[in-house]
Amino acid sequence: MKRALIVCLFIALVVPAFATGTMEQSATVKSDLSVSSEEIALVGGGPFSKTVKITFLNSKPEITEALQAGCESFGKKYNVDIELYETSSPGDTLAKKYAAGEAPTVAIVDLANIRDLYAEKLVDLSNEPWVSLGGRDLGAVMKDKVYGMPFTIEGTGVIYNKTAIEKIIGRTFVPTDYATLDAFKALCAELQKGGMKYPVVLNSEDWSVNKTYQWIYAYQDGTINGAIQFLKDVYNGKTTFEDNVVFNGVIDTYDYFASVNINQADPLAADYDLNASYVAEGESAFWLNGTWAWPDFAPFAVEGMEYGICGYPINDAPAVQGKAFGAATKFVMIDKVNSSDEQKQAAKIFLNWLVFTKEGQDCLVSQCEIVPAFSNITVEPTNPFNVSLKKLINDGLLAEGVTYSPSDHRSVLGAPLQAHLAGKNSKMDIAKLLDEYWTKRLPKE
Amino acid sequence: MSIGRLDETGLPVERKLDMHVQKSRYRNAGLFLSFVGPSIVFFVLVFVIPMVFGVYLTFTDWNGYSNNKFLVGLKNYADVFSDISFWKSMWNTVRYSLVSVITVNVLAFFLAYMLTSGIKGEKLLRAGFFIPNLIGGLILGYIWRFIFSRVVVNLYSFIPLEIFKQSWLSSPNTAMSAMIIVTTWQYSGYILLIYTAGFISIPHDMIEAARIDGAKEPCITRRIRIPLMVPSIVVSLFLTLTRTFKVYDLNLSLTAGGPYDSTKLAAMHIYTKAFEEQRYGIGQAEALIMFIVMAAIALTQTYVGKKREQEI
Repeated sequence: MKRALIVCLFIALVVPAFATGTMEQSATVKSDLSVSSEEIALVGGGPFSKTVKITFLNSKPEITEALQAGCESFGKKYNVDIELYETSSPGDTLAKKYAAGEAPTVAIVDLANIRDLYAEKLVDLSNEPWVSLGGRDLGAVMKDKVYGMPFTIEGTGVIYNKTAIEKIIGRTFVPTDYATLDAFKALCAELQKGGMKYPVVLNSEDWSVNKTYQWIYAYQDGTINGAIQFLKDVYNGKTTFEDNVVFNGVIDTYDYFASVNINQADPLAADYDLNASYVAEGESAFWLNGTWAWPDFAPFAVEGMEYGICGYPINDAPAVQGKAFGAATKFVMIDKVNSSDEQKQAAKIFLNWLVFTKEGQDCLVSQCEIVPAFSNITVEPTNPFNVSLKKLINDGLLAEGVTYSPSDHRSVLGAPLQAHLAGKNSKMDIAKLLDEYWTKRLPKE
Repeated sequence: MSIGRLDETGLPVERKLDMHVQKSRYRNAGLFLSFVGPSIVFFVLVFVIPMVFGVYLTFTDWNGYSNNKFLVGLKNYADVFSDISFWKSMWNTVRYSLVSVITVNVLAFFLAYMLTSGIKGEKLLRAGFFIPNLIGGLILGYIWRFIFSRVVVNLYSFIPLEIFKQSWLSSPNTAMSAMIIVTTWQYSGYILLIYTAGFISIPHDMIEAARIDGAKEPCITRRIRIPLMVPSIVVSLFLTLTRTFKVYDLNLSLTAGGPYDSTKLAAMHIYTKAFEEQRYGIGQAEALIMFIVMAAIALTQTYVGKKREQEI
C-alpha cells in the first residue's frame, strides 16, 4: 500500500513535469500596441488582438542570436509569439517537420529547398510589397511566381588583408590591378620577397572546395544566362570543359593558389579557424572564401587592419576580370500546409516589418550583419567584408552568382577537386569529370 | 440415447470440463497478451511498419517532402547497381568493419583476460576502459580529430618519425586507420564487459584440474577458455559487426568521409543520397541492400559460432 502510494505520488509529480509541452498554455506576449498608423500601412497590418504563435526556422545559425532580438521586438509590438530555432541542414529539418505535420510557419532556407517545396507547400508571395523592390529579381521565382523572399546577398571572392599587403609592397593595394593571373603572380612574388612565404590560404572542406567550380560557371560571361547556356552546350555535346578558356583559366589560378598555399605541406589538413587567423593577423594575404566568413574571421581581426573582398585572378577572360560573384543565398518561405490563415498573415507582416521599418532594417543590417536585397534599405553595412561587397556592387564588379546547381553537385564533384588539391588527379581528369556530370544533368533554371 | 455423466448442477461432466479448459485457455491467452502484447505492439509500430513502408518507398520516386509518390518499379534498384560511389562506400564499410571487429575483439579479449586474472585495481581499470563507450560518437570524433590533426603533427618536432609528419586525416590510408583506432578505443571497453562475464563464468575447478594435470597457460586458454567462451565471442562479434556496419556519427565528426571520400562509409553515403540529394527512393533502396548484406554476414557468423558452442 505504502509502495503504491509512493508510486502514485511519483507519477503525480513527474508526469506533469514532462507534460508541460502539451498542457502549457501559449504564453501571452505583452503587446506594446504602440504602432503608428504609417507603420501599419507599411507592413500591411496592425497588432493582433489575441497572441498569434508562429515558428521560425533559421538555417543561418551564425545570426540566430541577433535574429532572436529582432523577433522579440516585432513580437512585442504586434502581439506575435515567435519561436525561433536553428538548423544547419534545412532540407533534412524541413523533411522531418513536414512529415510530423509541424512545419515552421516561416523559414530561412536555400534555393534548392524552395524548388522542392513550392508546388505543394509554400505560400505564393508574388503580391507582397517588397517584390517590386528587388524581391522578384533576386528572390526564389518558380513558374513566374515568387515563393521565397531574398534574405541576404553574399559575395564569393578572394578575401584580402589590405594592411598586410601594403606594408610589404609599400604602395596602395588596388585589387583590380591584379585581376589577371600574371599580375597576381607578380604581386605574390613581391610579397614572398618581402617575407610573406605563403601569400594564399585555401580551405580543405568539400563545401568550400566545391565553390571553386562556381568560378568556372559564373565567369563564362558574368551572367546566369551565360552560365546556363554554356552548361546546356556541354549537355548537348556542343562544347567541353577541356576546350573552355574559362575552365582552363580558373584551374590554372587554383593550381597557382595551391602552390603558394600556407597549408601546402598538407593541404587537406587545413583548419578553417586557423585559415581565418592567418589572413586576419597578416601572416598571409589572400583567402579564397566569401563574405559569410566574417563571423569566423572577426575573433581574429586586428584593430587598425583593413580587410576586403575582390575577384578571382584569371588570364584570358577580360569580360569578368576583377569581378567577384554574388547572389541571394538564403530565402524566406512561408508554409501554407500546417499554418493557419492568422499565422500566415503574421508571417507576412513580419517580413514586411523587416524590409520596411527602421527597426527591422537595423535588425538585418546592423544586428545580423547581412547585406539585404532590397533597394529601399539604405542602412550601410557594418562589417568590412560587406562594406567591400557593397563597393563591388556599386562599381559594377559583381558577376551573377550560381543558383542553378543540382543538389548532388557537392557530393559528386567536391571530393575529386579535393583530390586535385592534394595532387592526386590532373586538370584533365577534372575536365572529364565535369563533362560527364553535365552531360547527364541540365542546369536547374 | 446416452446423455453421459451429470454433475450436481445437471450439466454433463464432459461439457463442464471443456468449458474449464476453454476458460483456462482464455486466461492463459490474456496473461500471454498482457506480457507480450505491449512488446508486439511496439515491435510492429517501430520496426515492422517502418520496414514495410521503407520497402515500399524503394519502389517510388519520393523526394522526402512531396505528397505524391509515383511508383517507378525497380528503377531505384537499377540506379543503386550503377551507383559506383555506393559500392565504393560499401567496400569501405566492409574493410572498416572487418578490421575493427578483429581489433576490438582481440583487444577486449586480452584486456578481459588480464582483468580477471586478479591484478590490483581491476574494477577501477574495467570502469576506466568502459568510459569511452559512454562518450557519444560525435564528441569522440571531434576530440580525436583534434588529436590526429593537431597533436600528432606537433609530435613530429619531438619525435621525427614519418607517421607524425602529416595529419592522419589527410591521406586515405591513415584516415581509415584513424577511424579504426577510435572505434577500437570506443568499443573495446564495452566488449570487455561481455568477455569479463564469460571469463568469470568458466568453472575454476576445470582450470585448476588442467593445471594439476600439468597444462600450461597458453594451452589452458586454447583448449579450455576459448571453447567455453564461444557464446561470449559469438555475441561480441555480432555486436561489433552490426555496430561498425551502421556507424555514421564517428564517420561524420572524425573524417566527414574525407579525404576525397576515401573514408565515406555506406551509412553516410545513404544519408547524402536521401537527404542532401533528395533522392529518398534510391537512398532507401541502398539502405535495404546494406541491411541485407549486414544481416547475411551477422547471421552466418552467429550460425557458425553457435555450432561451435560447448556445453559445460
